Amino acid sequence: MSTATVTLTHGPEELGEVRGRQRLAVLLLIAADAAFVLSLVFTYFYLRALDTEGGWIPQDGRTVGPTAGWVIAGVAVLSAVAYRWGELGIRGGRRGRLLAGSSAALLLVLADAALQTIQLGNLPMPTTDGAYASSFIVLAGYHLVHLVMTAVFGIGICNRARLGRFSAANHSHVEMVGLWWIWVAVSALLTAFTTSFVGT
Amino acid sequence: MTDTLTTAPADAPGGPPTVPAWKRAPIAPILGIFVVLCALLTPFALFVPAHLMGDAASAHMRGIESTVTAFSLASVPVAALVWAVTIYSIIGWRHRGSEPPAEEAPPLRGNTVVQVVWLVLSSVLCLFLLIWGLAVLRPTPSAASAGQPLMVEVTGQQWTWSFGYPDNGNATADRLVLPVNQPVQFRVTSKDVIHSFWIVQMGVKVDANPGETTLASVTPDRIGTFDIRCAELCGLYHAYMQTTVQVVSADQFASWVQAQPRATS
Amino acid sequence: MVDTAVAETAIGREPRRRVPRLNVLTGVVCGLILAGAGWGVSSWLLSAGDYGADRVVSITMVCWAVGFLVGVGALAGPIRWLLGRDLSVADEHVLAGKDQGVGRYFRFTTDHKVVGVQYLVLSMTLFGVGGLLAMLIRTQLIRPGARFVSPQTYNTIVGMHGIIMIIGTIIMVSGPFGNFILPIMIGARDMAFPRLNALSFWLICAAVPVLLATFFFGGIPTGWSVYAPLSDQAPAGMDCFLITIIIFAISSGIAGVNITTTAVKMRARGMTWTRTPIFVFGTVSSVALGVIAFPMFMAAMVLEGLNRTTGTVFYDAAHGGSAWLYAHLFWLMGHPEVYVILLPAFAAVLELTPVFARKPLFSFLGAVTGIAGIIGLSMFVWAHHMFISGWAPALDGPFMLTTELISIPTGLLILVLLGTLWRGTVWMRLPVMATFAMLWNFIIGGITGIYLSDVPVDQAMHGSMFVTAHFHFTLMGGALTGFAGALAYWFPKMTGRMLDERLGMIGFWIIQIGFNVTFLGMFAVGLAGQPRRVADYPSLFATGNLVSSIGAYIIGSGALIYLYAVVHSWRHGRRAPGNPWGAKTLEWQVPTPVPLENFTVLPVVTSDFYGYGEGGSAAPTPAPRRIAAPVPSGAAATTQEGGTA
Ligand SMILES: [Cu+2]
Ligand SMILES: [Cu+2]
Repeated sequence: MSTATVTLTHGPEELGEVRGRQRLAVLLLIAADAAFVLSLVFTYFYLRALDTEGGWIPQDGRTVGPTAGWVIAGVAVLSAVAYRWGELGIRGGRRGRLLAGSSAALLLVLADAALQTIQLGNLPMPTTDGAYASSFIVLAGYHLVHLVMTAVFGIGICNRARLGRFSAANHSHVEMVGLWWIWVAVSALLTAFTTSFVGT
Repeated sequence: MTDTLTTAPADAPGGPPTVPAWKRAPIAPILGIFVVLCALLTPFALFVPAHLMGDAASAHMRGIESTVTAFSLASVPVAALVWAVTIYSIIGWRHRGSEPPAEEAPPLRGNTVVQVVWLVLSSVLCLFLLIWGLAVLRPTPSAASAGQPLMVEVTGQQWTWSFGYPDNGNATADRLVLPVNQPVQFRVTSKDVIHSFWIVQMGVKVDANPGETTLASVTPDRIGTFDIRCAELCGLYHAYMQTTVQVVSADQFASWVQAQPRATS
Repeated sequence: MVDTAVAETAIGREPRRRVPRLNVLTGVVCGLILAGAGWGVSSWLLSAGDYGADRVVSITMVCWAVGFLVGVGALAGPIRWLLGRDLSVADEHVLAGKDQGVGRYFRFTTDHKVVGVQYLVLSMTLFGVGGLLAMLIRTQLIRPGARFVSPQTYNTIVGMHGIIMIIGTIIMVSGPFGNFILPIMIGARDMAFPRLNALSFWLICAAVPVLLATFFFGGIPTGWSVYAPLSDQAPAGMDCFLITIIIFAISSGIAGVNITTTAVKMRARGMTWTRTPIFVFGTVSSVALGVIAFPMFMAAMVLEGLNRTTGTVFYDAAHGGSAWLYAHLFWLMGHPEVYVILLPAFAAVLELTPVFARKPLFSFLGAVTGIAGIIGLSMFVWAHHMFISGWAPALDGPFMLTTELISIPTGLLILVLLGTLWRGTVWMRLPVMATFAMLWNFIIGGITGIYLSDVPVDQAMHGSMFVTAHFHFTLMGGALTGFAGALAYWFPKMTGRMLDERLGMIGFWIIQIGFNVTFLGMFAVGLAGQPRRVADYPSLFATGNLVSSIGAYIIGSGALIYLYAVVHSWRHGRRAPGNPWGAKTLEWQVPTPVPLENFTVLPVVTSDFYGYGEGGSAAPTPAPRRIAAPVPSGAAATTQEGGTA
């Protein structure tokens, strides 16, 4: 009842097949994450629409302007673009361009995380009062979580690019992380869009 | 029913001494079981659920009880059909032994007529349920608008109910008294967690949500004492969050409500 | 364990010290150490203020889970990927449990067959604990005024019974059979992502102690639905509950992605969707639905965790939050979750019925349509749990419609079962008993569900024992019965031994009888107006509750017999041939015990697997060990004999 992995007795599986599997799996993981993000967006709009006892924004509560959110989303988009640039490089076998692109993307993600942390650390409203504050914090906070996860993937890709693990023929990991990277940018835009609806 | 096993039409293949049951159309015995099941289930559907639900104290609750009875009756033939085939398959199509039986059964991979009929029938049943449900649902709001309803404020709080009568000089009470044959509208809310305001014999149930007011209306039409229970788990003494409602004549209600303390607002 | 010879020669012997010999023990030790550290640091820094206790408990529990996963070796792969030092092939083989005997069941083993067995033991353990709690509940309710346990304890027991059974039933089919059987059934050598597969299992193992810790931190007063804002009032046990659900949601997400990818991408050559066994459809649609549904549950739990540890106000109406928000998020997951539980079990019964009726599945297309219809509608019915919450009375009608529509695809599945039995030659073995029991129970569960879908009737029934009885008829009478059938059916393949039929039959039917006694009694008190989740009740309901309690003890004794049959047969049962049922699907064409990589040469499929009585009737018996009927590939390579044995 013991097994060995497939690769040994039967030679390596087709790269194309493996890539197809990985792609489907990453898309499914993104779907799951999207369900989570959409739950938070739903939370925001539902509480805003209900405005229970006029408590969406408390009497003396100040709110966060929409600009910062769009800036943060912009940086996320920029980093996805940089990553994509590197990914297109390795498609043509240019390892240097992959390393440059993914490093730039990684730095942008770290910068974005710093921006998001600064925003969350300097909120104009008390964190414990009002559904608006709560809904805003959880959306922005989850974007931060996204960025941290992306940074971990980015470190791996940069490191492996540095070690020369990718080639034009074999770079499915770069593609998979690329899909995730794009989704993070999209969800950052979604977050910025959502949080630009403030008052009721 | 077992005699269907032993007689078989002539076209049965030779070989095993017991001719497989499927060679004989099983329609007749299945119909027999179906009729017996219907005969057993129909009285059950007619009387048992309605009896268990007890005597209704409002037209709304009577509507609910007749809905339950109607749905039960409608599902009798469905259940009887499924169970008749099931029971017959145990009795008539059984094969015992430690070796798998020969693959002599007809390889039916579907039957368009049966499938279409099944789909149409279940859609019709579904439509019936929907129309019936909407019809029973309808009078609930209009009953309140028929006459000027008596407003009653219901407040849930771990683990008691309290009641207010804004139309009667803001009288307050820790038990509910209602005049008979008078439309009542409940405005239900909660001070802490979610409770559910349930007058069992009147078919009234609506959640008491903190920060929200929900509505329910009913016209009690029987004098007597009925049960109020909390139907949403609300913590430690949820089981004991129950009280009664007294339905009395209009005169008795007027004098009772006069005697209640006024809310200090 | 003699059949490892093939791998032996191919792999050669490399030093395998590269993967440290981690196992469940090192996991526990590491988890406890990290939990202790987390507790120390957090109670030093964070224990002040209103949210202190909750912060400390939450951090401790998260630390435990992370430490356990590190200690069991679950994170070795990702960390090595980050460092660019990938596992060697020899490492992969150690991970797959090569040559490790029984020990491989206690470590992070990636072999799909090991994971399947691990899941099976885990879900049966969960049923044991959950069943014990059910016995406590029925003991409390055996007569009115009983003071067997305090209301506080009682509420905790009710909630824990609920969540343990929910977790147990979610994993009971797609865990053991989805992992062990499904890859073989589709002609694959392993799951698409073996390491993720092991990770999904060990995540649940990390979560279970957290869940049990709930008992020691004040319990949960809320039932498993954890309605807010009651959950805001709860003691620190609630934090344990929240962490459990978050971990479990991650686990089932990973498992769902893995199983879906495997079934979509790794089916054998020639296995088109119309030739794919129906069990694959049921399992995949269930886990794929879970991939979308459980993140919403996780979101609801994360928000509640933030309320409790940082003072956010999502569900607090006094500060602009709303309890309805929680109910929406919960039921958006909650109703699909019912089908996540039901569909794989139903599909397992659809899979085994043709085998025992010796007939093709009646209307394969109907079965697929039924499953698809249920999945599609299940996302649009959640608000039937909120008919009386008052959130939007105007929408009651539409949700009544969507809910009642679900009866049409469900009815289609019933038709498929009946059509498959129709004029068959039903071989009366233990597995097919599940078909009969399910047809009985599920009709009752379905009809009572229709009552509840009707808004006026729901005004009488919602929150009463009627609801409890209804969903036990679907989830226990339907799904758990299907599991019992699936277990009996695949037991010979998984353990290499036959399940004792006599004891199994006795246990199975005692459970069914006790089950019907218990929950028909519960319908009666529900109709009479007994609320659910009550620790006590007026004497008006005494008779019905006594009946229910007696029925519960009957279930308990039947379950003990069934359990004994399983355990005893597993150890001492009669050795099973490769294909004891004469079934045609691929998992029965490989030898038992299943050899290395399942297939030496991957099969090529040229027809579906339900061709009973279609020309192949010349050589059907006895238990064909070399059936070529469904899979006559170009070479006769599909069904290699016992390999090396
Ligand atoms: Cu309550
Ligand atoms: Cu539901």
